[in-house]
Amino acid sequence: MTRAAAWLVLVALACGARAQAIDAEASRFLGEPWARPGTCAPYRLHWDAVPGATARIEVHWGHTVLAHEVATPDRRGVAVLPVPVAEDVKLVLYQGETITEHRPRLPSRAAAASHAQPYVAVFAGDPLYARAVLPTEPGSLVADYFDLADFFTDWRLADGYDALVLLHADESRLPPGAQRTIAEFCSLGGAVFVAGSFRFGEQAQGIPAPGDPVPAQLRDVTLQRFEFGAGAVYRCEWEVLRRSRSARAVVKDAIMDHLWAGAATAPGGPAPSRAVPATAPWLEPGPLADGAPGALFWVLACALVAGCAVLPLVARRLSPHLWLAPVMVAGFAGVIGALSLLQTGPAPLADGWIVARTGPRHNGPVSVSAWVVADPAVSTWVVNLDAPGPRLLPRPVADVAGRPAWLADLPLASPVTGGQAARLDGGRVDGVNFRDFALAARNEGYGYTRQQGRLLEWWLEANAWRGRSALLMPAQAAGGLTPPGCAPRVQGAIAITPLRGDNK
Amino acid sequence: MILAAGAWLWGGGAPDGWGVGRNTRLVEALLYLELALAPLVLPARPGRDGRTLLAHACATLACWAAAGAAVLVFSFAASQPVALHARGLSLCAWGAWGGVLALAATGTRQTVHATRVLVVAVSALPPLFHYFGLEYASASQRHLAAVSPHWLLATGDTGMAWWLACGGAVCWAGAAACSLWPRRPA
Repeated sequence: MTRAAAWLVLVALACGARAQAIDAEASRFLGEPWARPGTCAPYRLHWDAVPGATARIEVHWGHTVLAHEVATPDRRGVAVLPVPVAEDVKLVLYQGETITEHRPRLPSRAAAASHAQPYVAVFAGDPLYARAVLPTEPGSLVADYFDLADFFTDWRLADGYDALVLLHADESRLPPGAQRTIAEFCSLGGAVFVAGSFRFGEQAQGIPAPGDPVPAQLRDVTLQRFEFGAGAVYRCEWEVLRRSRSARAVVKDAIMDHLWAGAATAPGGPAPSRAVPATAPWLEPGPLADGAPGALFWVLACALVAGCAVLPLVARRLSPHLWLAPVMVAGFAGVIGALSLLQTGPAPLADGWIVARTGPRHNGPVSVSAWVVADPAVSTWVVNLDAPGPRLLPRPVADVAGRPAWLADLPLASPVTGGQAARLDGGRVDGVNFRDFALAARNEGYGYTRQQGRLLEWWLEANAWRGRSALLMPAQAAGGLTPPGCAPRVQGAIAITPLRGDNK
Repeated sequence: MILAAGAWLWGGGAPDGWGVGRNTRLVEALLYLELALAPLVLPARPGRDGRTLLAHACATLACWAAAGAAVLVFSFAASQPVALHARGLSLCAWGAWGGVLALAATGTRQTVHATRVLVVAVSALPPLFHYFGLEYASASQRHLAAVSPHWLLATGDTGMAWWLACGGAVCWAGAAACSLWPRRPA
């Protein structure tokens, strides 16, 4: 074999080794064949690991990067992480010097947001039993089934679901972190149905307490409803549900009770979803951060001009070789370029438009959805999925005026202070047609600023439908959500308190 | 030229409609200017010998380094990744156009001039084709962005432009072949 052929074989083998690092056949969305497009869904990634090493997995989704690190004790690497259900998503696996890319295969069926067909994750000690109790019926309910021990420890895994159902749940069967996941999921407006002895909010560290229990009778089952921010937890005893003649109907009724805000009929308009809406608010970002030249700039600029003029003359005197002058100029320019990096530019700014969702209780849990537009210098928003801090999820949206933009969700956010509240009911805000109210707010009426008014106008256009009630108020947010390294600049904030039709 | 343009833009010389302030947009404008200058200012003296080829290579390197230094000097106006990330694209553009001109320089002076015009057209026309394609055939010509540094910069693909790099390498190899192998006497 010639040397060239040997090299070709080696390169082919190297390419093959890289391609096989991720097991594309075994890796899949756990909810297959269902998933909600535009949201994150739990994805199990399999790869051939290096024993004892740490693998870094990055999920690239437009301007967003979700990063997760996992230790691999043996040769089989497995990780479950939130992966967006979208076309332009790729996973990158870093293992030592090896980098492998993988494009997840999308599930075949889309669980679109619908008032009539909630998308539910069911957790039970026996998933087969759960499948019998709560079967998937397209048009009525779509469910994915998991073991209780695999309950999500990060709300971003439950991003696509309208509700979580826990059957025969107790403390010992759920992994640590379940309380926080439920709290975060509910504060973002989700519903959780618990059948069992698991008591949400008790012995939980660092999460707000739920509201007082409200008794409710659904068919032949008596259960309790706990308000938690914009969401709710429904709880009943496992034995009571098991003995019920209509367990499926009870669970579905509880979920619909929350999704329909206590009304007997579905509200009007499109069903809410955490996917990026088709229409964005009118975002008018502020000016970019200006920089000012220091003394170093003047020194370097003068030196560069002088060097480029003088060095060719010097080189010509030193040597007749034509290559000497360009090489000297290149070296000198390299030094100038390196010294230029000592200059400090202004920190990039990120403009934020914040919609805070609260529950009816004062000082209850708050969640935030923020439209963020950053300086063009910010190419990506990297989110560490393992960080213990705020667990946010920035979703990439179309650039705004050539600047990268996101819609970021943050559960359990800091409380916001607001102005005077107005009530949305039946398409009217405090008795005024919602479009007239929005127009007045946009023109700085009712205590709104122009930016807050635009945000309110967008929200009303998307939500002022039959059966939707809410308290609306202009708000002051303490800080915005920003990509790492950016300084926040809040352009406008409003607070929304969804109300139930039955005022419970 | 880049320093002068930077000073002019920093001094507020640009019309408001350009949207160039003393911020990230200033550095971006200088990057566009740098990419536009590449096919225009690169020296390409006709010749078919190794010394001329070496001079072309060194001049390309010097131009890329000096242009990069001029852009980086203005990095006070933005966070430094803006200028730094575009170095890969800039290297590919200078290298590719330098290679094309070095290959053209193995011919006559007229060949060099014609090649400059051709390079400007090749790098500038793809967005126009894309526009016409979308307007009249509803067909995207997005794949042509690979040969248009300005288009790549506009879309934020400021890393290595492999099509340009490979094309440049082929041209440099062609120029080396023409320069180092003596022409057979007629």
